[in-house]
Amino acid sequence: MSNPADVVHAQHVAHEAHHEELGFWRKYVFSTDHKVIGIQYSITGLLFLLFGFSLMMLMRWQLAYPGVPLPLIGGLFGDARMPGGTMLPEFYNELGAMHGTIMVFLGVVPLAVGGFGNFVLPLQIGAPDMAFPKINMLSYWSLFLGGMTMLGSFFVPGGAAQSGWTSYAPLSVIAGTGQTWWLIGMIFLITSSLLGALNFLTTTIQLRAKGLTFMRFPFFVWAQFVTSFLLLLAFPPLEAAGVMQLMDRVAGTSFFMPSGLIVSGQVLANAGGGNAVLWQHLFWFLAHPEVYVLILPAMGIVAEIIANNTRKPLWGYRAMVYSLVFLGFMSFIVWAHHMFMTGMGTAMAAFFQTTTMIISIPSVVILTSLLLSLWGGSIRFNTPMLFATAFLPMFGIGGLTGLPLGLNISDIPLHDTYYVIAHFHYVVAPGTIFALMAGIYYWYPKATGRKMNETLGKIHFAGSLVFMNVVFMPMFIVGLAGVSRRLFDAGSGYDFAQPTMHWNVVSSWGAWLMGVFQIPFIFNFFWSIRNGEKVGDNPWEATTIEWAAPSPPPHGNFAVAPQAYRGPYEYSVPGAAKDFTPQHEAS
Amino acid sequence: MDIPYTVEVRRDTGLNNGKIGIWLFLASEVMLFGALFASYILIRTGSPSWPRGDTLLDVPLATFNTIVLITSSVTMVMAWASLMRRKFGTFRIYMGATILLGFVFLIVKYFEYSHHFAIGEGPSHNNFLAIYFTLTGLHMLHVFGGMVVNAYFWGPGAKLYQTNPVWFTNRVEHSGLFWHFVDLVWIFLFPTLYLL
Amino acid sequence: MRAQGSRLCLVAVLIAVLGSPGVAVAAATITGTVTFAGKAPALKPLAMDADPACAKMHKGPVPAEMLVLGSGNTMANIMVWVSKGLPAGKTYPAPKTPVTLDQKGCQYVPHVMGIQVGQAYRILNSDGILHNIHTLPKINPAFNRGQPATVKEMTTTFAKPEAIFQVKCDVHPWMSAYIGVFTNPFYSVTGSDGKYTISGLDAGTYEITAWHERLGTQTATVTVGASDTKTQAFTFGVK
Repeated sequence: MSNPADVVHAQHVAHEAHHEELGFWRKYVFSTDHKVIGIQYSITGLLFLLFGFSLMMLMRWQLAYPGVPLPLIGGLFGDARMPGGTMLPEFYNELGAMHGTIMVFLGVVPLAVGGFGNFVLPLQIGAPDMAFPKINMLSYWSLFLGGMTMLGSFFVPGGAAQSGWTSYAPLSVIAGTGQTWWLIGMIFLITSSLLGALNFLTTTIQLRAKGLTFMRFPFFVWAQFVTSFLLLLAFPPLEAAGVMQLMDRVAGTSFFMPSGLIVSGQVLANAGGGNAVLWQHLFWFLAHPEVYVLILPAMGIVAEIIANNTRKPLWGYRAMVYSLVFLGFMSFIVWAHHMFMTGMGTAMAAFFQTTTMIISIPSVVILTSLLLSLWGGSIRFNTPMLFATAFLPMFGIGGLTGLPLGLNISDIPLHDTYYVIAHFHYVVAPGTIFALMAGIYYWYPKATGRKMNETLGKIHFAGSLVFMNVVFMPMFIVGLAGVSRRLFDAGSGYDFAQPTMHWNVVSSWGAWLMGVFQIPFIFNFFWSIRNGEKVGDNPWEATTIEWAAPSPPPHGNFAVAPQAYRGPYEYSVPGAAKDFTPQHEAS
Repeated sequence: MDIPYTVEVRRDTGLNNGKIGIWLFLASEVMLFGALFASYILIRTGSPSWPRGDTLLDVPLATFNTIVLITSSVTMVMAWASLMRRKFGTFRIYMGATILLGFVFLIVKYFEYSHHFAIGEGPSHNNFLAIYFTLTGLHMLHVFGGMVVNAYFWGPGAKLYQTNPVWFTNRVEHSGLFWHFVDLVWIFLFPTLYLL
Repeated sequence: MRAQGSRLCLVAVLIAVLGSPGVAVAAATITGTVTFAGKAPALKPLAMDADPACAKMHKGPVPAEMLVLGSGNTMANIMVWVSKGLPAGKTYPAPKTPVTLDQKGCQYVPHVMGIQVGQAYRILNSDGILHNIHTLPKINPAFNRGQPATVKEMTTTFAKPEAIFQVKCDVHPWMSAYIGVFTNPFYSVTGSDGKYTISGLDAGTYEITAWHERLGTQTATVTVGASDTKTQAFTFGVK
């Protein structure tokens, strides 16, 4: 019984005997346990990712074969959306707007922040639960309501929101009823994120184990910490903007409606005097930090997995942490680089270009540190590690192709083309989503006590890696050819788009085949719950505190509050008995 | 299972969970109202003409409301102070007064609103009234929310005082922080909308 | 025997129908010609060069649709309808046949049309290029939908009666049509011969209105007896 984890385990067994039993509803549905909520978030996030992906697969049909009726399922969508199986532009717009909204706000954020944050963060800091368990539950159910509102909006007359995930005014103000639903849904989602963020922050500050100073935090904890600050401070302006747009739509105000706006040849009868660019400012004041909300947890996950599987401490941990904090701060003053197209003045453009170039430095520091961490390691290429290593070049492509977009002069010709789509998808899809997949494979044993199947995992990885690139690489080509990213028919009506039309077919087949390669994952995910290889508390021989808890951890996590004695990544310490020295082990 | 530092203070941070939580929440609220104020400035500076607040709004009524809210902040502090001195009876009186003053504020606001609607000056009339209704409406929601929480501590929530007076006092303090914030927002709103 | 019996029944019903006052009287007709007074202004042809696909469909310049005159200055595209005097409370079922709006040569055909509440509104795309149909009603919900090249037909209906409003294409700004939604079948649109005919009316006194998209409306009061045919001419002019 020299291993403290064993002690904890044994005491837990004794403890369990007088543990109160909760009913099914309180235990699995309206639970206040951070692990159950984390799993709820993850499942919800995964389902929405799948749903958002399906919307995109429909769009890809229209882009590859514009105007051709969709075989087999084309008739299911009704005459208002796809008469005879041919997609109407409005339905394409619905799909586009909802794909973006769902992937960002209901897919990646719930999984990366709500799911991993909730499940892993309290365990990693040695806390029994979140600081405010009831608020935590409220946060999940608020997300759930927001998600249902978004889904419900597909069934209102005129369909779901069609003004893009950015909902630019004035288009969004004069759009159909779906947009009102979108706004109400967003208010639920924002509430969820705010409640979640203040919970994470309080938990991290207050409930970290004894001896776990900030510089002993695993990088994942730091990533979630900074992310929570971004959510806390960036979302309220979007909430304000949402309220104003709701007022514009419902109460007839003109916050975003300029005077004398002509729609279909008729002057709109509103008071006018509003400012359409104001919406963009408020939206991007959220949405740029949101980009970091999407990427920072991913970096955190990748850092954990790389340190664990190279059996080495992270290279430049301190520099990474400082970069992270700096990144978080800078992300609040770069938003207008999304808005060079609004014709902003040179002084303002110069400011935002400068900050944009500056913000790339800490990102590069983190990515480089992760890359250098591989140097000289005895790397174990298991599924989580494969995804984590693939993250590095994929995110690298995404990041580097973003540089021309940060400069006014090169952004203007590229901004409304497929180049932008390719750029940010490289950041989010093979970037963040790969990291999230890595995280699922990595922490699955903690949640279930079993490993996911490695062979299926590797098939999933190989297929995803290949086809991610088949999907997005052609978009750079299409984008550089100048094809607008908002055309429902991929530009088939324009002569200049003709030379690149065949790339859309390649891209689309890539997307559908990537869909096929998610099937092993889905199967693996459910199959392994009962049939995966049974493992102990610390299957990856990791150093961080979450591995001290039993797998799966009981309500309350640790029978005895753990204590941190050292930094997070004490791997291969010279002279140590084994190649890892857990944080919670007294020397 | 109990969450640590719900009641007692963590030594190295010097705070309990609730206090960090409420301050973080207020930080996000600052961003919410900050964004609205920023929008107000942008719309106003971009508009060729802008009515002075007192030509459209009722300044004496709003002054009265300002006094009401400031007084309610004082009674809120007194309610908390009574709890600190373990005088539950006086707490009830002061907390009751705080809730009542909140009501007075809402009733005055109701008369202001109904007057505007009666003369056809709804939020769609012009952008000044649009921002007026949005800001004061959102503020009213906050007043109402604060009143609900305060009413809970005045009524059913007060049972906690019997079992854990320290925790209850902390909760009232946190709700008080929110109430002061709501008051502060009004102190910014009043000159911005009514006087400038 | 059975066949003969049913035939007898049919005859009886026919007699009953023809003999009943409601139907027998509903045979009055108002007709007339609409003419344009004065010198027709020269209108600029439609400028279709914004979309080469449209311009290619026409050999020469496309005449404006705002004012279409026949020989003898008869006016086409005038909507004439019974605006007052119909019996209150009487309902007229919507015809089963749809009203068709075609998009041909990047123009709406017909330019002016009436439809009954609930009657199917069939929108065709004979051009085989992307069009957009955007109705601009005040009472009914706006219909605003793109019609891609390969979608040949779409259908909608109008739920409420409404005065004449415009239909536009957001892709081709010159495309314009007008539609009025009625609760009854007593409306008519003139062709280039300027002739309109409203038939099937009961005996009574009616106010009829003639409408032109730029020259406004004119009204006239007509009294018809059972199975009368009255003529009422309208004259529009530029002031």
